[in-house]
Amino acid sequence: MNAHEILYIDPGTGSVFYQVILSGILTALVFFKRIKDFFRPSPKSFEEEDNTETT
Amino acid sequence: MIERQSLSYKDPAGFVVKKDDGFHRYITQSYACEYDHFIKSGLYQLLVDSRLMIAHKELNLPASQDHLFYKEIFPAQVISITYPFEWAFTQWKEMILTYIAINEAALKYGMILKDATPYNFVFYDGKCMLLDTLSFNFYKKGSPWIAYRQFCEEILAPLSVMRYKGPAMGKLGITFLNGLPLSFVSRELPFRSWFNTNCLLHIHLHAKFQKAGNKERVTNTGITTQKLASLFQIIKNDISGWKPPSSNNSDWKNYYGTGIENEKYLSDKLTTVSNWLQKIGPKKTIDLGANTGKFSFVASQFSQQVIAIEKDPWCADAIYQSARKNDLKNILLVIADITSPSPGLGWENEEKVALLKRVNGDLLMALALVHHLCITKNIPFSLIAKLFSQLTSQYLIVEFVPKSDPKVIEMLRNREDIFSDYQESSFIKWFEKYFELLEVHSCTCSERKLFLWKTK
Repeated sequence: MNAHEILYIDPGTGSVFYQVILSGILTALVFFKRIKDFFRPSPKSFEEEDNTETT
Repeated sequence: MIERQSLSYKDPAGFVVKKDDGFHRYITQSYACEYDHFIKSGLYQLLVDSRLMIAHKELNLPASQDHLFYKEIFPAQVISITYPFEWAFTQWKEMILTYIAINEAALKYGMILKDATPYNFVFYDGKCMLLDTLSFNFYKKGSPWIAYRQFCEEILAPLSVMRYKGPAMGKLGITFLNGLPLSFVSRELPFRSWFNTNCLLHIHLHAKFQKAGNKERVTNTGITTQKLASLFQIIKNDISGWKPPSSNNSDWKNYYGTGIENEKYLSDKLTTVSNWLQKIGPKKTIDLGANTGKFSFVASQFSQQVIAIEKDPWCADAIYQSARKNDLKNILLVIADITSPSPGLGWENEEKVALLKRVNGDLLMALALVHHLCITKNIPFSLIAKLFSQLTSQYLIVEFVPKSDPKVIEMLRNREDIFSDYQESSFIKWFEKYFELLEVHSCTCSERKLFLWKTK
């Protein structure tokens, strides 16, 4: 943090602390999204399926 | 020596000064690096071109001041400032989406908004834009999002309360000028808000850990740029889906009613008001008690600028949505009750200027309003005429609704008629004190009359 930031607004000790937890929550969210995406057919494969049906 | 004014004093990077030709912004030497990067990197131009930010021009500092300040800039002048507690739900939503869009763009240029106050945003040229040029700071990868607490307390919390508890809650901002305490908001929001991503992450959990975290050692560990970008994305996606509260709760939205008689009256009134507007050609029209904006939209065709003042937040939302949909850029919406207008707030009561000092025009329209002020609020004609004369520099259009009108009969049904002075003759007598009567029009299918006045 530079001097400006400290002088201008108070980020709040509790809020800065919570961002560490939030970072963990975001990691978990991204992880679950990747698992979900892994089991869900990608839009590309839908297109491929469409192409196969038309040809 | 430039004297600091109460309207801008918090940011060491610079301050605003009101001069004869408008508001100027002085940038201090301590902000030189950030300002230069903001301009030279192309971020400023990108934001201006994307209509996310107000443009400015750099002025030459007098030789006596160039060691005191780095730059003096003159931003495009906003005709009338409105404050967040005077915004409709849809305006709040647009402000948050603008805030996120600016941050997303800034991150790509190695910068971030260093604060998160809704007071940095204005409605200009039909869109929400950032006004504060000095809001940008360098973003150090992995550092905490400095404005996060402020974003949650001043931006997200008020909108969440408006969403779950009704848009009238926007008025809380008058009391909580620096944002709503998260513990308070968390308690007030209903149980179903725990199932909303933004409320869960940024209000409920944040409030719990904020308390616990206050006892912890300060840490500089933040979140990565990628996670910050994902966070902005999550906030944006969720907020985009928030719908304005249902207008079924509004008593005013169907004020004009339906039926052939009403339609004839309304059409006649629209024609008369349009003719008068065309004749006057006002620069700035104030539509007091704008309801759903019917007459504000008519005024926008003949007037350079229209300020629509409406106290009902549901009607106000309808005005804003219609204006945006029809691309009417010259309508500025203010949610305010003229019997209790927003006061001066903050330092010396001057940091946020009182509504009556911010709005004035060369035409004031008060259609189907005076009977509400007189009979519902017990305000005498003498005070109404005086206030109206302060709000317009030239013309006034007032509708007089007599006691025989069905709306007035309804208003008096369950109360004693103490309004012996509520007569057309008395109305004319008091208004003649400040105005000269130019024209009178008796409305079709109604006993109502329209009066066109000019200030004396």
